[in-house]
Amino acid sequence: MNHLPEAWGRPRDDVYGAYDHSHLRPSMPNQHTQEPIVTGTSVVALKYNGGVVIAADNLASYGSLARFSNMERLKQVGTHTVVGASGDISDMQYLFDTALEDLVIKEEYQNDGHHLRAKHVYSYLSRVMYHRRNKFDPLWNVLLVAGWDDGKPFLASTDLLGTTFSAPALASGFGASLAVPLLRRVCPDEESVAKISRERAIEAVEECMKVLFYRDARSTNKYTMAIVSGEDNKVDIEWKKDVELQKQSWKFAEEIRGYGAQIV
Amino acid sequence: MSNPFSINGGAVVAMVGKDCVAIGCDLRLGMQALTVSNNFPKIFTYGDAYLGLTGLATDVTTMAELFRYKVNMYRLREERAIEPETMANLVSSSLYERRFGPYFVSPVIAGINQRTGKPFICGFDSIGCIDFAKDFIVSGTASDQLFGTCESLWEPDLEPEDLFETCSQALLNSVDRDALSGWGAHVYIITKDKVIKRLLKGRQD
Amino acid sequence: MSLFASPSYPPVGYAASAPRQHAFNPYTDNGGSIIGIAGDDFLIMAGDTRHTSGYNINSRTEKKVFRLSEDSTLVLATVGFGADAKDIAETMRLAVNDFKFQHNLKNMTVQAAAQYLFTVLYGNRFFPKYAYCILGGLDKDGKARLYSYDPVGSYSKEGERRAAAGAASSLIVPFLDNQVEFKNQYVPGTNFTVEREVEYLPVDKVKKLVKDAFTSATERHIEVGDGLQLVTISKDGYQEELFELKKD
Repeated sequence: MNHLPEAWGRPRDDVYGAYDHSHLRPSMPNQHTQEPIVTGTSVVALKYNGGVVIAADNLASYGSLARFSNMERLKQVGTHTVVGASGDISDMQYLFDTALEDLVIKEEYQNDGHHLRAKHVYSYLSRVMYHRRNKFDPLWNVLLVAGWDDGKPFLASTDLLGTTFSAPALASGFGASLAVPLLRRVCPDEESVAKISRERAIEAVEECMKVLFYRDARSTNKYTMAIVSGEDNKVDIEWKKDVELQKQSWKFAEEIRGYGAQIV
Repeated sequence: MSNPFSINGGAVVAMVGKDCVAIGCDLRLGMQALTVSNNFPKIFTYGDAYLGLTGLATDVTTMAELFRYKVNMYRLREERAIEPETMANLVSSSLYERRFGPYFVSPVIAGINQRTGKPFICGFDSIGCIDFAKDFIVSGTASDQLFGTCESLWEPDLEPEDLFETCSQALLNSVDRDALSGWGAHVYIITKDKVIKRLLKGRQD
Repeated sequence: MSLFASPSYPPVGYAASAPRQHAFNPYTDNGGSIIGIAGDDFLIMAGDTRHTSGYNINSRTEKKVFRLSEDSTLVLATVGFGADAKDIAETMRLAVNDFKFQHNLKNMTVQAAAQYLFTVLYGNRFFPKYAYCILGGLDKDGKARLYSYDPVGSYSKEGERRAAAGAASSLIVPFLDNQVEFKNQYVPGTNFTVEREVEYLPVDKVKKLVKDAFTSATERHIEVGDGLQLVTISKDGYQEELFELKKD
């Protein structure tokens, strides 16, 4: 007679035979996070002469439900860098509140006057993302890292696969299709960064946030913007929080031909 | 390998030169990896129009015979040879007739219009959409390779013999990098008053 | 009763049906193409600078040819899944750097680097690094050596005269067969009995061929374009040039 507590109240093995658990336990490997749950949409960023502008709206969606409308998706890391995250919000919170906090604190232990710059933060994040994809347990995000590095504006992207690339204009998610073409009109290549003023860059990113709100069903009209500038060797990060979209108008839709209610 | 376009293998290329056109094909007929014949030409002549057909071999033969019938009927009705441009529209409409049960072929036409003296080439997808190209047309299982060689080797206004060499090199080097094409080639070099057909030996493997 | 034999009881109501499959795909293809051509005493390595995801262009300036150290002639070009490609390049950079400090500041030979790259790739045999590699450098006699690899590491120890990999390799390879190895070319007047002998090409001719190959690939392949990174390795060291390719 088995006296172990696990067997209490169950059919006796010596009468009914050993209980067959196979139907309770699938013969499958462990399943890690394999889909995003609460998500944030596009992050948009553009370099200009003297810095980078980065923006993301404040919505966290649960499927098609607009679940949290005050979720900031930009984070300042150290003094030189802002990271923007789209994709899974819990993975973002792990990165922002645990991984990056630990990184910055550990870096300051040395007290050697060295501080993490954008390139270092980016390098760390992309290795974490790639490491997690190697473990088949990805962090379901696309991250944009904006900052000031080595006397130049810095902007680069990494995603859940650890894919990395950089360009003068970047956007994640829906923004890759909708915002990037608009930003590339302002800034087609690295050479043209020098010709773009801070005001022009902010204006371009604001316009992208508006277009995204018009067309992306998982977006909202409230967003956060950070401007990292590095004029005369001093890095400054200006935050614009809870910004509401200005001058919205669907007037342009009347000019659109090819779909919708109008006939030719 | 259940794609009907790549069971039997084969390649066709056509090019435009100065008052001349060239069209070439390989000679292989296979059943997947097994080569069944090394004498299966894929270019068929219809008066002034030259038709290259790649794809499913049974459809290649069927279409070649179908167009023989149709072009003969055209000649009896019209009492003149069919022009390459007209042939293009005949091929297109014949393919589109089978829009929802297509012949698995990618045709190519080359020829010189005897009335205007203008060189003409074009290609089709399997349901008859015409690609009027000014430079070259490729088709078959070696089409990727042919795009690469043609795009690099071809230049405008080649004289007949130079066009022959360009077309032949593009074809031979392409089929050598395609397991389903090769085993020799036919190349036609067409000018207003002369047609030369050459058999190229090529690699036999 | 052993600890391991004791049954563990899953929560009541745990479904026995097969788990939902949202299989995570750890790979993607970031497009692009690379070429390597060995001359007698020089080496050309080239790659386009377009980086794609599906039909999106992520960047027009992402390089695919990596210099493995500042003071050796070793150069690696990688293409395929961008994250794996860059990881291999970084692994090789570290290995070349470590080797130097482990061997009394002597640089890794190109043959050793080639064998090491095989080890790296084959070491990931059961979760392959999805990248095609071309490795090149000058050997101790100053002769150019070129090696190309598949994602699991197979390569030819003898080295190669030319190699191409990536999205447009099927377009480029037959062109190089013809123009570098003179395939299907015969000596005039011999009635196709004497093949044209292969010879080393001069550096300007090789550069011209590489540019031609990439402009052609750009014309006919959507994942190739934007820019051409052309690296020359010779006794004069490492030289990198950038050229424009079509951006459409």
